[in-house]
Amino acid sequence: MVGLGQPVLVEFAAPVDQCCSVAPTSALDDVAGTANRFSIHDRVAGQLDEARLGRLSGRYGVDDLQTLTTSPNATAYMDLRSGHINVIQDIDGVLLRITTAADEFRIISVGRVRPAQLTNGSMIPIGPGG
Amino acid sequence: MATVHIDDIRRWRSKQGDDDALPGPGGMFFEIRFDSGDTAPTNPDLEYANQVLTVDSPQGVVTISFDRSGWLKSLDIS
Repeated sequence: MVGLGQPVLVEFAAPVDQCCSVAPTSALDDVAGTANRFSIHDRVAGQLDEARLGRLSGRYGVDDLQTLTTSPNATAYMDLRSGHINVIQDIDGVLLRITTAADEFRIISVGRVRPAQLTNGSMIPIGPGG
Repeated sequence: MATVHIDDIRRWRSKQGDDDALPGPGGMFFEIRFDSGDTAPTNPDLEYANQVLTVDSPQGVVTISFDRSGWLKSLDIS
């Protein structure tokens, strides 16, 4: 697990880079006023430790998701199929997906996406994370 | 031949009380598990060990996970 303040390489894949700027900050830099903004479903803690996150498996805890979700380095996408808001960011080459409910500040799952899944018309960028 | 569509399963689970089986308040997450705690792998397929596939479907992003033996562990839609 990465402690707060520990540098984390954050880079956007090309499609994400085209829609917003990349701030030179850590993925876990806190955003004022956003601490514990999101409730988190119980299943998410287990997902953070699963192979589904690739090299990010076991790196983050549920508390880290509060800052990752509101990171200025992330981009929010609306999934037109489910209505979910997916907060996407590239961390160490993994496109991390933090999925939140459309109608409340609630993290319902985490996983990965492939770059092509952000450009096939199913997910529409709606702004920065948070 | 037994065939069932994922939408039918999700509606069934929703009727059983799983509120997140279908899109709605609080978000949707639907998982089908294939792992079994009382079954030890006898024919590991290491080609898929710990592999994860993310694919799109009409219902949303599907995550397909394999366990350390390469057996299909779960697929979820979120």
